[in-house]
Amino acid sequence: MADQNRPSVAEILAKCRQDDGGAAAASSSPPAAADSAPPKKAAAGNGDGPAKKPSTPQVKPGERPSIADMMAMARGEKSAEAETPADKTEAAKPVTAGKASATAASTKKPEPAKATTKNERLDTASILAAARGGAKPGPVSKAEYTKQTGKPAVPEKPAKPLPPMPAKPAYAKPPAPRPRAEGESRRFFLVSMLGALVGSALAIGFTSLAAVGGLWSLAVARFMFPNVLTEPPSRFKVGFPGDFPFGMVEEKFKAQFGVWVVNYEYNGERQIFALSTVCTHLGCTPNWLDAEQKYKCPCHGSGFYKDGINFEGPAPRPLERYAIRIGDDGQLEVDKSRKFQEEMGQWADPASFVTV
Amino acid sequence: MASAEKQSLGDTIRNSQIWKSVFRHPAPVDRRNRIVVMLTNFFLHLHPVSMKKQGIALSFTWCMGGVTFFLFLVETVTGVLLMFYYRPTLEWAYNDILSLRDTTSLGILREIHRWGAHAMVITVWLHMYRVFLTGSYKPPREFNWVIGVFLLLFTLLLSFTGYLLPWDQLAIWAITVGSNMARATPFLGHEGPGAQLLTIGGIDMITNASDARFGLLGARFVGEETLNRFYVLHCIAIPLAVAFLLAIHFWRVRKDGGISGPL
Repeated sequence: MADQNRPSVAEILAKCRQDDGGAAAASSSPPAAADSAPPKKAAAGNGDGPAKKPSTPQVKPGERPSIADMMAMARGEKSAEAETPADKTEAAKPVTAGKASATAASTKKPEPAKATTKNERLDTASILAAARGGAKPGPVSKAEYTKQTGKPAVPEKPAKPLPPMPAKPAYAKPPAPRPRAEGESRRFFLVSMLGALVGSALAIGFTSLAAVGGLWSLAVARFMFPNVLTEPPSRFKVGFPGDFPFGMVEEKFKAQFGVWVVNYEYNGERQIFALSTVCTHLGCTPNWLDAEQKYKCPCHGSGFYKDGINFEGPAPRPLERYAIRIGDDGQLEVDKSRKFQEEMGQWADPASFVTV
Repeated sequence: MASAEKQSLGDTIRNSQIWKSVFRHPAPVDRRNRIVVMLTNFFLHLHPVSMKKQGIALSFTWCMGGVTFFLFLVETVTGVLLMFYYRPTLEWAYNDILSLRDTTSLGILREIHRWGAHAMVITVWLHMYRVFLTGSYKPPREFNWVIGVFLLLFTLLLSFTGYLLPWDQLAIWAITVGSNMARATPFLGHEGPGAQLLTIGGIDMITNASDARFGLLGARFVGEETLNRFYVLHCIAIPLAVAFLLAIHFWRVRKDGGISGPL
């Protein structure tokens, strides 16, 4: 309030210049209207600044006033206004001269009825007492406040309305049991299945995708089974029976085919047979030791007689035979796709040996 | 009767714990579930939940990126199948290629692999061309263009390394000629400019047994070492890099403002 009405330096300077120059020329403008006061105020405010007041008339009409003169003039105006609050061109300013009136205003605000202290200085206690107006001094508890006023100390909160629960969406509801229609029959099922497969563009697309995918899966599965092998064949010829004299263990097929061709006796019968070179213990490859006339496995020491019967070491059963026969050209032909195990009585099978 | 049986069977399946543990959300029949499915499905989460209609217009995108990725998948699947039969050795490489054509069932797999490789190079170029024409390389998509350039480079390298594997005269001499370019690499090729500067105590550091070409071939000339090296590059190293970059490429398509079109 006071800041807004306080004149700025520019306004003060303008006012002073108008005092110097033609005050009559600018009589109609608002500053000029304010200017009509200074001579009167200067006369009335003598008591405030007796040393500075005389300086105002000392300024000659043609000269510019000094800063000190301007300030003195401004102070003279203020003090004059403070003594005449009725003059509302400018409101009262918080200067030293207006201290009493300011105190009066502050006292007036809380208790307008007590206007008697206009010119007295009041202590803080009396001001507070006047402000409370006879109520109990000091803080008041919520219970006391309620007892005194009959109103709750803390206003009750209004009940906040809760939004209603959202309705259950259709997908969250349990599916209702579908009533069985009259037209449901085998024909209806077939037609609906047909419609599900080719009923729309989307259905045709997915059906085609599934069909192509299925065919490709089958083709790829077939791709995994090679048609040409580079491994040695399972059926091979080893030579004429005359090439294998009695007691011979032919080792030249061991490396490539994994077979010993043996001419020996089994159950008192002279036979040519093909023994597997796989140890019946854990699958190592035994060696034929000609000096000791036995097959000896280097892994765990299993030993087999010349006819393939196990007799030492951990091997639990005799070596296995492969099928052997005399081919059309009279040569012995071994077929590794058939196996014969002695402990199962399969060595009695005529396909497992060639009688000499 | 049969239809009612089928209906209830479908509900039984869809309400089973197995089904619900795999498919966490109902079918995308409403707007909420369409969004949820896109966000929770591993294969779909790279894609935006919604996009501008123009963004999927075939006349605008040509679908060349999608076709390229499809061809990459075709190359991967057929390539893995071919690896079951192909042996990268001097003794077997050419024989296995002939065997794949002549004696193996579904012998068209190798042709699909080769045609797919040619088509992939073409579609990568077309994809790049489309991105250029539509200005889709501009910010904020500029880094995705950079990734795309690396993907183009790796696509060409896949073709280059795969070209040697049949191990016929065409392959051997094509790689010989192609790798001869590496001789002229500045500083790193023994015939390149600046190679003579890299000497220590008067001994050349860049020779035909230590330059970039040697590192590429694993030997002075195209031989079994090169075949094995290109095989590993073709089947393992470059596909891994491509898969890694593809993931970033697709992810950034979504993060950089969706598939093509003005932002």
